[in-house]
Amino acid sequence: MTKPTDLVQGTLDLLILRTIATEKLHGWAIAQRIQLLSKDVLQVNQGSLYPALQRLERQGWITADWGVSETSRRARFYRLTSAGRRRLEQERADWERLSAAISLVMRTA
Amino acid sequence: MRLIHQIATVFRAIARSGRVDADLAEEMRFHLEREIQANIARGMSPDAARRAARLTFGSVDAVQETSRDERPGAAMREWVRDVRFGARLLRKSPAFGLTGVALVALGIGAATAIFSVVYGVMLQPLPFREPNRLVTIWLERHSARNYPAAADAIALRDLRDVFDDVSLFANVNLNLVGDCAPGGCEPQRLEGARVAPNLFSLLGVSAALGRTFTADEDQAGREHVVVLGDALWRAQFDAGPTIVGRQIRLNGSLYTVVGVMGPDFRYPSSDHQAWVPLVIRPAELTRTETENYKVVARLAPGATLPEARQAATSLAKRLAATYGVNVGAGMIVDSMLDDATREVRPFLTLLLAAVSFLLAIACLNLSSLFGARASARRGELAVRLALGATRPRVIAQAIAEAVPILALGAVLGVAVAQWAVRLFVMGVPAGVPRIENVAVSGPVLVVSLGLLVLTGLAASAAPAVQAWSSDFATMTKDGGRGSTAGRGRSIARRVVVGAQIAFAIPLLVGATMLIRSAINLTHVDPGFRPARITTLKFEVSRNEHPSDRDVADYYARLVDAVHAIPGVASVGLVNRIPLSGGQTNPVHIDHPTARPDELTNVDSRTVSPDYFETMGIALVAGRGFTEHDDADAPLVAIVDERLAREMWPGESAIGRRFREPPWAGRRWFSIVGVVRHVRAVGLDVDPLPQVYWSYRQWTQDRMVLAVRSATEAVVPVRPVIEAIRSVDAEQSVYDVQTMRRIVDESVASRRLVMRLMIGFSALALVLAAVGIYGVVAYGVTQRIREFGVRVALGATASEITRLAAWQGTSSALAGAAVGLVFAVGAAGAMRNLVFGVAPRDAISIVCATVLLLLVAFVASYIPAKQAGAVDPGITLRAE
Repeated sequence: MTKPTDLVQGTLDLLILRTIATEKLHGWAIAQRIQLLSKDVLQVNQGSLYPALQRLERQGWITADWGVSETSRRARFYRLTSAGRRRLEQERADWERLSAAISLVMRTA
Repeated sequence: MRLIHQIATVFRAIARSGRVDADLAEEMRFHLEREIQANIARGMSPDAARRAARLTFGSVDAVQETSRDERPGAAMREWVRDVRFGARLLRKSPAFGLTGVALVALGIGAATAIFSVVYGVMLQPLPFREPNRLVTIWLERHSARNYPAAADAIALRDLRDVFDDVSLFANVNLNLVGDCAPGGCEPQRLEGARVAPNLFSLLGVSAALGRTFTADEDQAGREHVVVLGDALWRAQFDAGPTIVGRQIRLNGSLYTVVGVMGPDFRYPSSDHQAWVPLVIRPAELTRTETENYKVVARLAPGATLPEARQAATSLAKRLAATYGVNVGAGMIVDSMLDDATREVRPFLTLLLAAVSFLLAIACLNLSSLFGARASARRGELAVRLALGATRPRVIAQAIAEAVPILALGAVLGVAVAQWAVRLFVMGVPAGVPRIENVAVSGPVLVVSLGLLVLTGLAASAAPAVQAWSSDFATMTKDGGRGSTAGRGRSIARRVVVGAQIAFAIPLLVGATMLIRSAINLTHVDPGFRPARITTLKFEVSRNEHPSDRDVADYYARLVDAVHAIPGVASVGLVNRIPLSGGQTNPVHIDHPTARPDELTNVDSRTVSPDYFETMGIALVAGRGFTEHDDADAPLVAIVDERLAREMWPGESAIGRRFREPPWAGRRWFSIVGVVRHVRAVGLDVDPLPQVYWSYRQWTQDRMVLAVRSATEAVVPVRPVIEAIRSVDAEQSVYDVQTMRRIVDESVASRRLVMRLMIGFSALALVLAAVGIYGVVAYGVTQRIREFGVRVALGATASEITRLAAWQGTSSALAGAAVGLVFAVGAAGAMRNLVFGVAPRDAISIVCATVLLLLVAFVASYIPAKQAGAVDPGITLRAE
């Protein structure tokens, strides 16, 4: 297993928001999804995942409800709020601009 | 919407903090289980799966901790935890906590109580329209205040430039006979006022029910109308709304009730319960009648007090020229509030100054108490900073620890203030104006509370704030050998202690001066013998006894009836009892150096023949009055030895004469007797020589009946009242008191102030002692190694003790030096408050200073003694 890449804080928020944009997920599933989609490059540590979820919840971007997991266990499912959806759009735009800029620099320098 | 959400989450997080934690724990338990299941699904054995899952997961507690910080309200929860920690510390060192709580509570309580009283009595605006435009006007003769005559008030009305309106009134006793069953109803005496009809509109007040007087109700024949006070209306007439228009019997005549005032109307005093129109007789307008009115006015818009004073004084000159009286007299114009509080102001100012000093001492003490504790924990602070605590966190915690003490102290302080104000109002002697206004004042409470709480917070936060700018090395260095870093703080602490001493000295000096005054007062000879005397007041009705002769005959019948009671030694009448205020009368005395028509103020009283014997006033020369000194006999008078001595030094006053002022008829009186000088106004004030008239020649309607008992016990009141009623069933009496009580009352306000001052200084003394003890004890712990070395090098125990005690005694000496400067200034300002004590009384200053230094020495010596007992072996090995 490769050493997990440190995620910049803002980036983790963006990834979480993106991951639950389409469906509501519990914490473990969010971590799994990020790992899966990034082909195991990004591993989300629980120590940063849960504080990040608390932070996003406080901001009012996500909201959580207790539900039943795929293993028939009680689990807390997170989903985007409408404010969160707007936030995601904005973060995505920011990110794309930033990464385009960085790629530009990397290619030409 | 977003805002509401945030508020809701913060609320949820705080209110249900435990629930949120439990949720998180369960969520993470699920996470772990899910990870294990996933691992098993990937083909691991259950054990390996569990181990791998735990490995990736890390510490559950750490995650919980970080999540909690991310959660809303985290800072507040943090703080609540700190406060709880502070409360636990408090439980561990209760002496420290109790001292802090007591300091805050007493500081807030004492300061709020006194400030509230001062505010209620002296500062709170009068309950009238534009009260700062209202003034009281007096005649000024020989720099004393005399009541103006009606003519003066009428003349003042013409000064339209400076006075909008001028009104006048006089007090009157009203004898109310209820219309209950005949014979079964007690006549009741009311404190009333005869007022010019414009008084109410001048003050800007109107009746709560009905109306006040119309402008023409001061005409003879229309004046039988009355306005009642709220309390009387409630007590006597069951607060019935039909009272307006009803007729009641006052002084034997029927008066129609036209209105009832609101409960807030307490003018001229809270005792006044009925107002009737003042009818000015034509004779009064030519200034040939006595001066006996209280004159009030409203300043014209734009007019200032100095302008009004100037206008009134030049008017006084013109009046003197017109009527040929009051030559050289001026007028005094004072703001109504100042005038009402004139007599209590020196006392209240003293208490205000004293409690301010006490508050300063409490603040200083609190700051050294908290400061010492906070600096004792500097090492801990440094370690916590080094371990990564943020500086705001450290400061927040330092403050949070002080919060339980300050909060408890503040709550107790509010209670103490409430209780102290109530106690003060109850303990205040009769006659203090506006005492009914006094209540704990909110703003005052907030200020004194804020002052102490901020001091406490600042003192506890100071070391943490200091740590902000210093590094770990300097902060922990204090503990190191030969450190000098503590010196700055130690000097600061000594300055604080010195300042407490400096504030305490004036308090102690003031209290000592008042104690000496009180002792002096007990040695004052009142000039009469107060034991065994019962007194009661009454007023005769002119309707039933129209002429002076009728009144005097009635008095003689009353005296005879009371004298017949078994156990009565003698019965006397006087129109004003000694020690109950002055009764100034100007007379022209015929003595060798007198200028024509020169008036001298004397204190005059009308008495019955047996008055001197009853009161125990010794006859020095000549004779007393007899029943034959009546209207048909030559006019006679008795003077006191002081007047005799001043006017005819070295000669007999018998046969000399003086006469009434021009407006009173210029009749000559010859002196037939000289009596002992009596403290007429009060035990502590003695402004004027005295003159007595015979009650058959200078008859008064209001009298005090004094009854001397033949035995040790005073004569009971019941038989006296029954004897009076046997003469006249409708005669009301009031103010029954023993003469002893009157003597006590006359010094009651001084006693109260003295007790408060003693209390304040005792508190200041204790605080100063605690402060010094703290400084020395702290110094000893700081220098214990140094002392160890000194002892090892041969210093004796007493040398070490002296060295350690010096820290305290030197601060005390420096503070005392500054305090003496304060004290000398303050003692000078107490001129009006002391009796028989020089304004800068050396004995008081020395006594107070010695006492304080003695206490300071003891407080230094006790902890210093421990330093002397240092065992070098132990202290040096403890390194």
